[in-house]
Amino acid sequence: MEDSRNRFDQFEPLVHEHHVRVRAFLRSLGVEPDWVDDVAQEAFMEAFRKWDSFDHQRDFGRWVRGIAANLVRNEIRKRNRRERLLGSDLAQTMLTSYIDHPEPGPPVSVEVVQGCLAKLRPDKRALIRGHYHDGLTTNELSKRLQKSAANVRQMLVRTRRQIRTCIEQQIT
Amino acid sequence: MNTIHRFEELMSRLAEGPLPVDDLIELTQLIEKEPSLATELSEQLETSEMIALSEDADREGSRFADALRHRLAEQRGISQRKLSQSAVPETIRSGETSFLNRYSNKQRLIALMKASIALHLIWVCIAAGAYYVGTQRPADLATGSGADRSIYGGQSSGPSILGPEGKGQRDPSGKGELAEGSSQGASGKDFQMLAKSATSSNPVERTRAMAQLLENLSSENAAEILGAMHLAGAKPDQMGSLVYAWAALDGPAAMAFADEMKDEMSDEENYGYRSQVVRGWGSSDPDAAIAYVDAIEDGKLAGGLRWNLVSGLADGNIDRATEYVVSRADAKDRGSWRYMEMLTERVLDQRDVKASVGWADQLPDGNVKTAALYRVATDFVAEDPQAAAEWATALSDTDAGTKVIHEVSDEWAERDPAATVAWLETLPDGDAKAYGMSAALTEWVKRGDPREASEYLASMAPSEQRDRAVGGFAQTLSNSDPSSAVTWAETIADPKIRQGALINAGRSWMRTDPTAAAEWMQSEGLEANVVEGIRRPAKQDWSDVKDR
Repeated sequence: MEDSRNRFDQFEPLVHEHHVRVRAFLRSLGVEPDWVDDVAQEAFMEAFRKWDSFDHQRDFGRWVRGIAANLVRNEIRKRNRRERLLGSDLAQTMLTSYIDHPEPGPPVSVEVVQGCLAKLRPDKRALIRGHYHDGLTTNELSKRLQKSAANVRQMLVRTRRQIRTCIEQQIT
Repeated sequence: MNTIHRFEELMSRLAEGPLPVDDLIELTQLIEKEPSLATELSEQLETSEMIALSEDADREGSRFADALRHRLAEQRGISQRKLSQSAVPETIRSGETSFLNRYSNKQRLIALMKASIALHLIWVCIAAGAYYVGTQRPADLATGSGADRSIYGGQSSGPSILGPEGKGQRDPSGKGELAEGSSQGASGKDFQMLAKSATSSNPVERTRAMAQLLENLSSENAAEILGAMHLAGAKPDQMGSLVYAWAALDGPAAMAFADEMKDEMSDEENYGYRSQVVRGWGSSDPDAAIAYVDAIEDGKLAGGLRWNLVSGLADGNIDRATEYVVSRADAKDRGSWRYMEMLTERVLDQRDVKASVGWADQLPDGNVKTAALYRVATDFVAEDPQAAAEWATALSDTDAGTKVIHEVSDEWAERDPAATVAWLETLPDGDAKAYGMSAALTEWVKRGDPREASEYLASMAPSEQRDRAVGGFAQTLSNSDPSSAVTWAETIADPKIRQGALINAGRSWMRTDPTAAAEWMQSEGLEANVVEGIRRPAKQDWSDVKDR
């Protein structure tokens, strides 16, 4: 038991370093938002079990994402567990795309994301905050901003692209 | 609306929440036609999740790591208390001292909860509430007044495992059971003894004790039992069963406890507890549980609880659950198709396949019917493919037809691709036939003889069906024989389908034989965007997408 505690103490910093990217990665594979954390924990649990056999010269983030991808593959196969996916066909398509071109995916910290959010123009910052922090739907935002819902959706898409670019610049 | 605009709309709606089945399939098909869109979707969803994480303190890294530590401990059978000893006060670590006796008021318990953050907080809260509830109802415990119903119905006036006069008596056999008597006035010590058995390493003892706890759980003692179980180190599924049982017995009381502890639990913990309550409540008193959930103004909370509500309704009465999900679809609830997917699983668990198909057939037209038909099709074709094909044929001119035919083709072709293709040929031309043919030929290659499949394809007249079928065929072939896959892909007439198939096959070829693939990529006539797509998934050029 003491060994388990010590092993987890060694492992835990990697969890802190990589959890954001792993959770985001699972979302990108079509895992239901409410289940992302659950599946991400299973990926880290599997990584912890295999920790002794992991070559520490390798990229831990890529390794644990590979484990996460395998979990999604299993979800697709297990019919009665598909509820954890937005759709098995979409998940399969996204999984295939990842396998064909696995991105390097260096770790991303919450602070980096928050730094990029802080750089947004005030109107875009308010849009993101309204949607993600206050939980306003596109329709609710459209009423507040007096724009069409389609327009708000497009603003969100573009703002996410801008944030993405900022994050990539910060971590490379 | 052009493809890019449509893709962008579906993608942005997916980033916001689940899509109806039709839209999800359309989005998947758009990506299959244009693989570069997968990169854009992936980046949008990833970024969306990163933003969500950065905006939600409840999901921060320490909590995630704590939960992970807890799950690892559970899985390894290591006492969580031992694993995180340093974070747990001595009063708990000692283990021997009765939790309920030592902590004499709610405030002290809450202080303990805050101190022992590494514990699974929700159950500490429940333990606190257990004592709190106990202290509020001493007269009931002593006299047996109030609704002391058993989970299995009626008043618990018969023989009980719990001793009389509030004093549990050990079974003389020494097997961890308590002597017969009334549950009225049972002490915390009795529950602790049973809880200890329910969490022992002996599976027989554990199962027997858990059954005894459930059998004797009443609206009066539920909170106290939960507290005792928590302290004994019960697993989440055991605690979940007890919460479910309490809610089935007395939904309002179980839910009132969640309100009582609202300030002491995180939103996530409170939500987890309420979910289980709603499920148990829905199983025994559907109308009241529905009224409770439908009255919640917070749309996000209501949506999450509704999933559990439908599950609970299905536990009690499938027809009532169906009626409710259909009413949610009528109310334009975007989650209704997800509820229906889950409900269909439950129907298939409870009824045979043909009865399940009959149930799905009689649903009113719309997304929820499509979701149900799509799911039952999988089991129907597994049981009787000919009958499933006849049934799917009759649906070919309905909204759900494309999805059902696709699913039947996909599943049947796993066993008999030639028969599947022969059936598909009898269908009228259209999307259903085209997508079904693609699925069937893909399976033919995977599980049958690629030569047979290729002979069939060579015999097909030029058409959209042929293009889609060759596209699917080339995609499957690209894993084992990418150069042949490229040759086939080049015969596709539709430029979009051809380019997508060439990119897929080209990428596989680059991995297995980069020299030969590079030589082919320099050949005349190969479109530049195909070459670019093979080298790296092209990011979509969004510059032409203007504000609407």
